[in-house]
Amino acid sequence: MKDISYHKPITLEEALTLKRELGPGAHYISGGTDVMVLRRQRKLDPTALISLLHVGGLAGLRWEGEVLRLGAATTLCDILADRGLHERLPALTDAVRVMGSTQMRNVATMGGNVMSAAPSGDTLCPLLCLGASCRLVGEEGERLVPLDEFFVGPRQNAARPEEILTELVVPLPGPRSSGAFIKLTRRAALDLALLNMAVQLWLSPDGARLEKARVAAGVVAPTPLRLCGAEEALTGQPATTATLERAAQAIGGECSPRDSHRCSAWYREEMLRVLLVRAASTALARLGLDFALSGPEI
Amino acid sequence: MKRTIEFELNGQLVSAEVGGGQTLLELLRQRFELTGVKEGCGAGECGACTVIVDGRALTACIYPAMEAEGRSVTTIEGLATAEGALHPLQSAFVEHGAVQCGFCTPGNVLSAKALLDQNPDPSEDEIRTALEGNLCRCTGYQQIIEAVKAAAGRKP
Repeated sequence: MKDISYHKPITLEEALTLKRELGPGAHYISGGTDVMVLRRQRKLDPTALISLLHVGGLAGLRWEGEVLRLGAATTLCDILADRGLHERLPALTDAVRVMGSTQMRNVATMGGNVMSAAPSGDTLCPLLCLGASCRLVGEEGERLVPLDEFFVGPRQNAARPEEILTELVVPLPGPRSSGAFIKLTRRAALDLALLNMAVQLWLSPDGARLEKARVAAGVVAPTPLRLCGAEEALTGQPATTATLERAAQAIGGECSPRDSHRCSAWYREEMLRVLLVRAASTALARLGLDFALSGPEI
Repeated sequence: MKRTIEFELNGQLVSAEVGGGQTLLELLRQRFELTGVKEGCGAGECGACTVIVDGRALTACIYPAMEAEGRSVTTIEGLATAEGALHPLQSAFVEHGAVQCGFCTPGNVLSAKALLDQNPDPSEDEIRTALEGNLCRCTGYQQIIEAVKAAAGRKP
């Protein structure tokens, strides 16, 4: 494999200057668990790599009032090390816990998972349910892009080539809300999702009804997808099993799962409904309601 | 484009000329001849190339060598003492029959070491999670887990 240059800027300005000077062949890299594999598979052929791991201020969690600012270079193991995060955003930690392996979570970053924009990216569904936005910094300054508008195709996102994702801005859902994430795989570790799904539910003040609901699924379309039919079927309804089952039947038109060597489209469509009931039940159980958890609570 | 970097390797400060596209696995095997670092899948999925960098286990086959600069790297060659006394994990692997063909062994021992260094008394679940990225094609998982349990608490 031909040799390339490797750069370690320590400021965003320096990173952007390097990207401008090195040209379109230069590629950003953070944990490298995607970039290094794609390069070896010859699906990516960068002339230079610009590491974002040494840029100041890109790693770590900042709780600011009603918002969590999640630095793009925060590793997946840092996410799991933060107990407060599991209590407040369990759908996200459910997802991170089943990603890759310990070795991968030690280096892979939150920002990397979002920028890779894979249809199966495990953090993407929880982040979509939470209404997260991406803060991008580029030649023309800074902008905040809602995640709902960020994924434009398989492994394609709305960032311009030089733009750097600096943080994910996650509105905190509050005490009457909880979530859950389920990943369907053939084995427990080191596997891509056959299907993944996140749910975030908000209860009414009296706890009887679902005031708001967000549902997102992966590997059912070219991008991770909000399931609006299911969300509508949950909103305003009593928090009962019958409601969850009706919502599962309301999953429809927006999904276009494919047959693949991993599993069939038919199986994906069937399991999508099963996962919705399981994930929503787990979220409601976490809110103290009498529902079954889909797995052991840590 | 090559550049000289310095880092700590098995307790010693070393320097090496490194290419921008080079992996840590290539650097360790080719330049330092530390062939205990095995290349299996080359995509971070089998764990045979596991090393410890700044206390965390990672797969050297997809880790850029340039990122080792200024860090501390431990390979399997760094575990036994200079006199040849085995690390408690290595002894426990031998005693519990946790080594069959041996190809996955350095990675499994290092994943376990990273765990025990942070958490000297792990539960079986924590051991399984720490080792989930290390595949053993001889399927000796049970013996490996028993060995890690036995080594936990033994002083290095």
